[in-house]
Amino acid sequence: MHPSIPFFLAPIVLAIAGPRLRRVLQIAVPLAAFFLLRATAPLGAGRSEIILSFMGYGFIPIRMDALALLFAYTFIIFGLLANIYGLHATDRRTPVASNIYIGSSIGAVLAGDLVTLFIFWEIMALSSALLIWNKDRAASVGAMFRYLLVHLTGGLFFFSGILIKLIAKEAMTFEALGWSTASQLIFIGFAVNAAIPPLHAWLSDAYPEGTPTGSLYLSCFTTKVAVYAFARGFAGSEILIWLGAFAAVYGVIFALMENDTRRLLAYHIICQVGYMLCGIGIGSAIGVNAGTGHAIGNILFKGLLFMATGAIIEATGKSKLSELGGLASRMPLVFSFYMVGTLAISGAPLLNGYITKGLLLKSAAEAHMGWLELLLLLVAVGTFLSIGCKLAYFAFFGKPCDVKIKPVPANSHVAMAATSILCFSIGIFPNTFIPLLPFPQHGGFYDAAHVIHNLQLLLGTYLGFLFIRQYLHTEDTLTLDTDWFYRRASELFIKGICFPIHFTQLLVQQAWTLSIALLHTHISEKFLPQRMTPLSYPLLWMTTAFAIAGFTLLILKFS
Amino acid sequence: MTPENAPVLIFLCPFVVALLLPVLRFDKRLAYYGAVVALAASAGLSYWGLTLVQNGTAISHFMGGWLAPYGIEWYLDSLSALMAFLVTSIALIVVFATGETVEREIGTVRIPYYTIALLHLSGLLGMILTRDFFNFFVFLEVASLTAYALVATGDNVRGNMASLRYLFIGTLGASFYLLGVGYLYAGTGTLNMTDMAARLPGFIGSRTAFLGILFIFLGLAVKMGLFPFHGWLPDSYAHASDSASALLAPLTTKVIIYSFIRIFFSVFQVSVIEQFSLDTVLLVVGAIAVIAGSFLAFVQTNFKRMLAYSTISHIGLIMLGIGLLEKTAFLGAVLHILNQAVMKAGLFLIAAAAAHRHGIRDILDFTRLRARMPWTLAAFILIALSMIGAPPLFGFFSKWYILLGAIKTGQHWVAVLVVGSSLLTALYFFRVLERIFFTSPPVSETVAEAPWRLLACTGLISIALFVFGLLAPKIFTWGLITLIPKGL
Amino acid sequence: MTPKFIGLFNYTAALILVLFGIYALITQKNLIRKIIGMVILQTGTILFYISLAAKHGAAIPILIDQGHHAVIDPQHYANPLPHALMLTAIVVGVSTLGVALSLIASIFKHYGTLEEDEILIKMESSK
Repeated sequence: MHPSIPFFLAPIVLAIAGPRLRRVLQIAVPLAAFFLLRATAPLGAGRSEIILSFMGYGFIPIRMDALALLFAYTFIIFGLLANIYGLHATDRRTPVASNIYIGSSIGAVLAGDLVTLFIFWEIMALSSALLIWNKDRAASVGAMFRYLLVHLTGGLFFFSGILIKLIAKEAMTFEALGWSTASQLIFIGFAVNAAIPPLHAWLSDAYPEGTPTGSLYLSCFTTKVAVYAFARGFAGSEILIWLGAFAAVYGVIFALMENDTRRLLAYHIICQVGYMLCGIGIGSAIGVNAGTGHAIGNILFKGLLFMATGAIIEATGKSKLSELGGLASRMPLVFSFYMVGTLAISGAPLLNGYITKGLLLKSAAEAHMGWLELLLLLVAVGTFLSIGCKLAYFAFFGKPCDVKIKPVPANSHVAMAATSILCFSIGIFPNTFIPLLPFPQHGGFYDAAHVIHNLQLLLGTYLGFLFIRQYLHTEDTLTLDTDWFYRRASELFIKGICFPIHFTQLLVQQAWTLSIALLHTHISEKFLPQRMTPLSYPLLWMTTAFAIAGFTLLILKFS
Repeated sequence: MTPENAPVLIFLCPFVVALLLPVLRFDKRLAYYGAVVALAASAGLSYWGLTLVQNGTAISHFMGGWLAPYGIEWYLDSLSALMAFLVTSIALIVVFATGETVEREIGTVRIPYYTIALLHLSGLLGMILTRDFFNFFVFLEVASLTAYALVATGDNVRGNMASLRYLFIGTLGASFYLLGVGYLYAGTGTLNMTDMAARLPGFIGSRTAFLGILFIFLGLAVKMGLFPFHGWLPDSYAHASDSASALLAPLTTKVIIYSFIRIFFSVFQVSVIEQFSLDTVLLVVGAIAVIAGSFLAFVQTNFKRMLAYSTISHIGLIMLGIGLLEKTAFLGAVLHILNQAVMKAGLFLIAAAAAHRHGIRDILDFTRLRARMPWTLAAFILIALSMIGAPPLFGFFSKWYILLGAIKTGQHWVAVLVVGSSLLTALYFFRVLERIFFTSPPVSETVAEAPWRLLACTGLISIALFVFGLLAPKIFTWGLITLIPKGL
Repeated sequence: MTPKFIGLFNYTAALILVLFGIYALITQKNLIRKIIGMVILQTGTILFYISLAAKHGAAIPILIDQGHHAVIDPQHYANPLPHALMLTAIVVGVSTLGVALSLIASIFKHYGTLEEDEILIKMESSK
């Protein structure tokens, strides 16, 4: 029994159910899926596969091994937490779309062959697109269509790769994919979902637009399924290390400059995905463990951060840092949960980020990539700066904003609390989590050197922030004060590579919207037939076409 | 009711009732019921005919007892039985569904309307079943004349001008067809298709044969709406009355495509097509039609006009499938003909529903439909997804088989184009969906759904697309045995 | 050379008629003239077929009763099949003409003019 089935059946009832039944279902469905999954394969068991034959092709809808199960369980657990967070929402669309989304994500990680993966991939794209539409934000419609277009195009690349493999009669099971033309096309398809720059624009464009409850689902599934796909198919590819490093730096730079809270977090997702891809690219057992562990950790603490910022947006109605401030005293619970999330993402001890970041740095060290270690440390600095210092300071401290605060619903607090507890428990008792990772892993984490190292990093960053906080603008513009980047190399990197990519994306987007508008107003009115034209036009068309074609053929065939 | 009479019986049901209707003029509603009963009988008979021929046998009926090649032969084999069943079932569904719209739009002249509609269907059936070139011309003209009349129905004055335009261009096409048949008759001395297939190889090298084939191609292309010979299609479908366009749009062009397949694959065999590079012509013309049709559909504001250009684009796609000269692609093209008939019937019924209840014809006004016609819109989404080619709906499979055929023959650009056509179709349908779902309606509305018959038939069509999609592999394997012409 | 051209004269004339009909359809603005063009087009096709049926010194293909033992030599009679076909084609042409004229009558009743450009302008302005 596929654990996604409750998630796919629920929307049928949710579409017509009343609010009370909706809330019951939102809690019951993930629990049902959890027990279904547990019944089919307890965590830690060996491999198992189920094959279905249809149209002469063997689909493998359920393939369970440690990697897949880890993601599947985490998706279900986070689905439950997100559902609890959003119990107070009244619109019907979000529960329907989110359930299909979660169900298809679970289906994707459990898929054993490429075609099943593709089917669930596309269902994910369609259902997540629905979550972007927010009737309070007019820009969300455009963002949704751009999201769909990008994802469908990425799906096309994926599909072409599958087609080529099908025709060459290669094996279609989803294992390590090698590096042929087909697998390169599949790589591009995965890269779109993982939001590797320059294919990342959809993430920063679409994630800030949805409703607070809707965006929460968005933040955690698509990119993590892509990470899983990379871990399964392309583990050890060196290009992933470079792409991951680039993504990490790119994401954190733009996160530092961003003013909208959720767009900041969205850029930061790109950064964290870069982290995960570095680990997977390294390819050793510890590297894949690190990447996977960090993915799981991200689901939890990124989700917590989105929950907290979502609570702020729902309470104040504002999402821009320039319009917020002084909320720590007025929303203390949200503030504390936010800080838990921040510390987790920055790798503070006692939280799960510390474990996974430690694994990652260790894997980089063991692969003798000192530069990577350094880079990841720098990005960690940027992470704490953007999320821990900038967002926290300008939202919770600083000049108080004078908006009326609606009370945060109790279920949101419960969800945030539960997520925080999970983060702490993995951090404090790492040995409950480590055995779940795909490869066996030993070694302690809480030796004195590492703890002090991490605390140093955090403290140093915080002190640095205190000095430079006036340079981290919170205006509604995208500026960068280059004074505090004291290395010209990084300045060149930013101006030479990151900015052009960013602005090209913006340009392409604007050009697309503009050309469609132009097409409708100018060209279609003047040149293209919207009304009846005189008879001579089609007749001339016809006779010239026939004369040219006919005579060409005649001459070709009879001379 | 012997099997030999099957072809004629299928034709006679609508034909006889068409002739009877003007006589029975005491109750106008009788026209509607008479038409529905006639079409139901015809659909039943064509289904019976399909069961008779399904294992590959064929039934020939010689009119008046005069044997071929001197007499006129009517021929029922699996392809024609399938087309006859398709035409009669779709016609049944459409005529049944548009009862109320006919009442409103056509009003007092309902009896002539149903007479002309039934005559049109008889003409289409005659085209499908005949095995004689000139007989085909006669039924072509019967169908076309009644089509011109159907386009001019309704209280829309532009319908008259659109009909006149259709008349001029259609007559041009028919005359070219006749001219082509004349050339071939001059060379072979026979008009029976089977006989001509036997005699043609002897004379195929001459310019007469080539011109004959070319003129026939041109004539059929004009009638079929193949780009760039499509000038009559958008205006006719846009300005005809809603009931008439729902009847014309799914059927007429598809029957002509079937005739094209019949003439070019059963009479002029595949070798002729390759000899005269007609496959290249088909591929090029089909490709241009796909791109141009989609592009033009995207810029339209009138919903029915957009659907007309969409038809043009998909006819191009069917020609692409045929032009590949490969079994899988050919079957994909035939399945796409079936598909297009069903989907366009559904879409034009939806257009009729929107115009009938709310007077909405323009895509920009579709925002008002969201709250008012939710079930119709649900059906619309399903049909739109099938047009785009989303599995497991039927639309996906026909495109998939054409794609497979393209890859098998090594024409990768055709494969890219098929996928591109899906994307382009998605573009213009998403535009409509965006108007419906993502722009807020001016005032909150009450639900005023389409008349129950329209709604039921639209729903039936959307569910049928889903069911056929699941059955598609079976249909494909059946088609591989029975539907592939010799030489592929 | 010369005999061949004279022999093909009918066919050339038929094609010229067809082309002329198309020319009239394209260039004439008056709807009645377009219809005349269409009829000329159809006439050209009919002439083509009839020319196929002609033979040297052939009689009309109608059998007068000559008794049972007379031998009928098809060479002395023109080919009747194209004649029969063209009778049908003429009927089709006449029906088309009828439909076209009734459409034009309806258009004239509404717009008051039969010039195509004027009708199109009126159609646009009334929307």
